[in-house]
Amino acid sequence: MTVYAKIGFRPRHLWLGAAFLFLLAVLAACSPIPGEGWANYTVSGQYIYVSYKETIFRVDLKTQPNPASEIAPDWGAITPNKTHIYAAPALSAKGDLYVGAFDRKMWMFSPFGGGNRAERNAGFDAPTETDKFIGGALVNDALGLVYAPMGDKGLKAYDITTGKLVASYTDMKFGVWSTPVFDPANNVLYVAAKDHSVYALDPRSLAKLWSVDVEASMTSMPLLANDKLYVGTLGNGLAVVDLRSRSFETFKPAEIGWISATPLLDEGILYFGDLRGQIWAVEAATLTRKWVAKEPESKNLPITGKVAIAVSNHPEALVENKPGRVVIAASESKQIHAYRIDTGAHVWGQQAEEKINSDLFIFGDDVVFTTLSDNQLLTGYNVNTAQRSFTVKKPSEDFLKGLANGAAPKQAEIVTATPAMAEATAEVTAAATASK
Amino acid sequence: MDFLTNPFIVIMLFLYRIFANNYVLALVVFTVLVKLVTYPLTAQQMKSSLKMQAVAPKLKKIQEKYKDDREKLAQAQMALYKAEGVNPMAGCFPLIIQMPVLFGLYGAIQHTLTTTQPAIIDLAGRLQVAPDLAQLFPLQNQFLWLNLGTPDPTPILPILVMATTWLQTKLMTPPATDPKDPSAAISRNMLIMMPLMIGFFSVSFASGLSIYWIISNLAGIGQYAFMGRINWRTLSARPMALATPIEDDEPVVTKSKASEQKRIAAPRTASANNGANANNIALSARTPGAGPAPKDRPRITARKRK
Repeated sequence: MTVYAKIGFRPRHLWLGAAFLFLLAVLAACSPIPGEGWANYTVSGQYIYVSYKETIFRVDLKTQPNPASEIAPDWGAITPNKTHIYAAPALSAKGDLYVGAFDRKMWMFSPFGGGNRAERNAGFDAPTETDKFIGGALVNDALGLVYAPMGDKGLKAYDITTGKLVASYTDMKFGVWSTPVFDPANNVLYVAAKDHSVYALDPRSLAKLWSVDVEASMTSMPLLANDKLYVGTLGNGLAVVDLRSRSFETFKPAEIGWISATPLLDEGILYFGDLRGQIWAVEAATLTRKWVAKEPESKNLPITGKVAIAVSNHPEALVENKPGRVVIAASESKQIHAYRIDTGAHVWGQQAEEKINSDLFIFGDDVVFTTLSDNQLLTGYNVNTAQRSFTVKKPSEDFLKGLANGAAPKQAEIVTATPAMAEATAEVTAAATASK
Repeated sequence: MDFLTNPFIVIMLFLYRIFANNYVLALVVFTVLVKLVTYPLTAQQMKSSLKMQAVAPKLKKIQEKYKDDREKLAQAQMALYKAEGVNPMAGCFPLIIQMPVLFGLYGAIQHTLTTTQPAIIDLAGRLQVAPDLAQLFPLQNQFLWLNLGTPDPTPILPILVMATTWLQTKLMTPPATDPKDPSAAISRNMLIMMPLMIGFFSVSFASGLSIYWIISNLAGIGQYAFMGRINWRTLSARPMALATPIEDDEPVVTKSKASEQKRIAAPRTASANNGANANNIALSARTPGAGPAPKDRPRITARKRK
């Protein structure tokens, strides 16, 4: 009797066992996504604060790169229990950072405060919410509040010092995945929600003032300009909400894809990318197309970040032999491309190490953005030559702890969103200084 | 699996729109539709199982006869299969074909219950053939206490997943007549391990996926009941000896006079079945049949084959 016969093995058992193992493998592979996102950032003058996975750190963009073109952070911290962060950190006038995480809590970090700078500020203890945070927070220094978009429903406001819940608005059917926008001129807080509505809320009590249904979900931060909100939608093109009449209209050509990026307004023209890999230039006043461009050899991969505009002396960008302006966009194709601002004609392109999902911004001669590569987490490319200028790697936990034990980083120069906000912030700062 | 997942996503969204934005109702209807579409395969699988079970006693005799000669054993087995018109692999093929369908449906549920930005971006690419469906998003993901896109915070769904998986497996697997048969031990272990394993995984699955699993289990039970293959007595059945001896060359397929259902008496030396379970992908196809008859049933009769 063979060994197999002795133990009662049959060929069908082989099928059974193999199928069972296959089932286990499939079920294991089909487990939920563990909270991966992409690196987001907040810019304050020459400093950029980056949040990615469990890490938040700061880079001084005026630091000269070493011979390997690498710049090291001058501050950083790890989230409690290494929970992942999805959203960009919000910055207060004092230099504190606020960021919501996948563990359903908002955390505060104080790079310039006392205590362990590599850990969260223990004095800020916000409540645990019912869903993870995806949208970015917004600080209102004048009111001493930090607005936190809820992943499942609504918006809440915490005290920026203690984290205590001060106000909430949750009469929404779905969550808020975008960052709110504060309009100091009208003292209104605007929120673009997933439930198809743009809400206008009282910034202190979060009471609803009015809302407009734009007939599609929104996951990107609106652009506030000219008494209008310009916001990308998932399925209804670019929506424009008139804040005076509380009506809306849309730019929705047949070939436009879902829009997950905040538009950029420059000299009356709106520039934005869509999830079909197209870059649009649209007249803001009339909502008519000026041009639309695509990456050369485009694979129609999504553009999820805000585009940037720069002055370039690249030969293809010259206008009457003088540097011309270009629109720069990046996509999940791992590529970044520049296009002439007047015609949308392609100027230059460059390959990065990984997908690019973040917004782009211009610092000096560089276009700066993040990728999904730990080795090229934050990077800058020269707008004239398209060559890489610098790279910042994802810092290790040990490195960040070492930073915390060293000298405190330089105080950031706070650049606030609007002049009115700056005045309000200055008043608060002056009052705080006077009271000491 | 995008060639299946993407069309399934579109179908799910159409059903969602038809059924007034009720995701669970759309899920129920979709699962039932999938069961109906794959019914021919399930029926074929069942038929193959019946044939395999019919020749099982003869197979057993051959195995005992040639237990020391693998070559002759293989030859005799092939000859038997040929004579009886049985393909031992036939029960597996329908399952193998159904597996991609299951994965596609599984993927469709996962992708429509988006909970992150990358998931939204991924979904955008999948809906390019039906862009007007975009305005359905986000889907109503609340059902009772559940957020269909996140795991159940209570143990209720995992328990239901385990219970329905066990129930389906139990109903489709007849009790072994010979408890000493090693394959019977394996089947008993599967009856315990499979529900436990799937229930364990469901703790971390989105609630919508767990609900789909429960619906699929129940639909599978309903399907088998419709085919007349369910024997509720197996829920409490114990291993028994055969009522009548089986002689050489006599088949064991019997017909009950009591009901219009075909009942198959477990052969005396039959090994335990690897009960077909369309939802639990793993199992190959030997049909469950009626267990050994209780004393008050009509006697089992044998019909000689020519």
